[in-house]
Amino acid sequence: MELRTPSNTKSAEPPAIGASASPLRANRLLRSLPADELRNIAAEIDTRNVRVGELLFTESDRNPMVFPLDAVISLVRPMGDGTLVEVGMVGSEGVAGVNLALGIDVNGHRAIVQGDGTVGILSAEPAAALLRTGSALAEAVRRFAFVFLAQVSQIAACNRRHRVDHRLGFWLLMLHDRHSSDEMPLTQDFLAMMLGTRRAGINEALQKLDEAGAIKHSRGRVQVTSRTALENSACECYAQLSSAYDAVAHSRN
Amino acid sequence: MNSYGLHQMSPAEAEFGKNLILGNLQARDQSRLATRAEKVPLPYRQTLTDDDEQRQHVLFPISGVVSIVHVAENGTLVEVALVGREGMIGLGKLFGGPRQPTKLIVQGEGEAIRIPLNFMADEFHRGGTLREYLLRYVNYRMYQLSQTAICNRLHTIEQRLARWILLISDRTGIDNLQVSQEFLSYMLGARRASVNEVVQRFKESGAIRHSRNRVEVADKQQLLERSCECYRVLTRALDATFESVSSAIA
Repeated sequence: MELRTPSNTKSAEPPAIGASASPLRANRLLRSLPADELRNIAAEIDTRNVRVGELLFTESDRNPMVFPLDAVISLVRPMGDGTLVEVGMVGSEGVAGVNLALGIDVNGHRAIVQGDGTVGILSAEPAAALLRTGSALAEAVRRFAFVFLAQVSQIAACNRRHRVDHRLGFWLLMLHDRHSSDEMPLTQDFLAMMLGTRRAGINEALQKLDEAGAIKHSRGRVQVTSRTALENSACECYAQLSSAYDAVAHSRN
Repeated sequence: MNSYGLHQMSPAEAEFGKNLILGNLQARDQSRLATRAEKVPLPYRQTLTDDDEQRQHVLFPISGVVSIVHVAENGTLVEVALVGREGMIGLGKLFGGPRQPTKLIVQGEGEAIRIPLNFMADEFHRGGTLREYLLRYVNYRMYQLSQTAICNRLHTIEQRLARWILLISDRTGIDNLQVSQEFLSYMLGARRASVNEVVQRFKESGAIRHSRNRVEVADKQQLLERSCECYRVLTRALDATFESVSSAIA
């Protein structure tokens, strides 16, 4: 089962009541909030375009909360020697910077844009006021924290268990769910960071997926040509994780 | 109440101090939790399950340690986190998180404080120190998982074994661990032969003493040197979690 971006799931959503359709409603977490609370939040959110590779916050910043509207964010950790490894990704289904709803000022992860698009940024100060005890935003962000935890946990297991081309399949499926098109800007360097592996390994893995008819790759981009072939080329992790996401998708919000 | 009208501590409450979360709570929060707290054993190698959905609990280990393991479709296990006296089991259930393909296996025998899930949820909603520390702990758990993701990808079996031994020994406060090599290979997601090889090396260099199913820390300094940075990173992160910091939320 796919985790599609809002444009594909519009027909499944209940009609908006009252207020004009705010662009923030493209983010599922925000969309789930009561209208008046969303209005208060909207007043404090700064919406802007972001480009691939842009750094949104570092691991030691007093970070904002970043709500992707159609951009894709990678959460990465820098190692002692400076290498970056990705530990998870967030699209319009959630938020980067859940730490603020957990009472922690600093996220410990770096947020880098992986897919061009727009985001809604809620700075730390106004976020603190909005996250007051009992607010729907606080609850929704905390619930999302557990969805994100499931992703990181799956990645942790996958990183130990599966070989690079199968892992690449899993990651590309997750990315594809969050990108609005089949063609995704992805350099081999970015992929190497994502998978915590060397470029040579990435090249080989891309070849395998290409041979399986799942993707076409060229300098700086990967295009998904067959979703089915990609699913067949990926490890089971995508399917396992999807069950967790499906369960959330079918709940109230 | 005893004859002076003073609050009599239950056996469970007396042990609260052994768990980092429970021990950090204000006395009034502790005594409310204590009304529904029981002390239960954590038997070695036991898989912790809920007998039935209705009677779910959360657990705060006071000794011993529990492995959170991820289960593949073919049943193979990979450890994704260790939880001991510093933490809580049942976080996901408490916050209504998604079901995950994970199991909880007791890695080090011990005991835990058990509290009914619904009661815990009510107490959480009251706010106060319980809410504050649980939320901070959620953040720590996220950090733990992302560290494991990195470690599982980048570090060698030797580094990971050293890290694992150090972590378990810290969590349990015991230098002598009961662990089978078969189980260790599951936990580390490595072949038994590879694990055997590394255990031998550690034994030969004097880092550990090892006999059937037991590993004893002999030279902690050596283990620190052989371990990946993950051990240090996780230890610092845990310390930071329980420092008193200004909260972003009321």
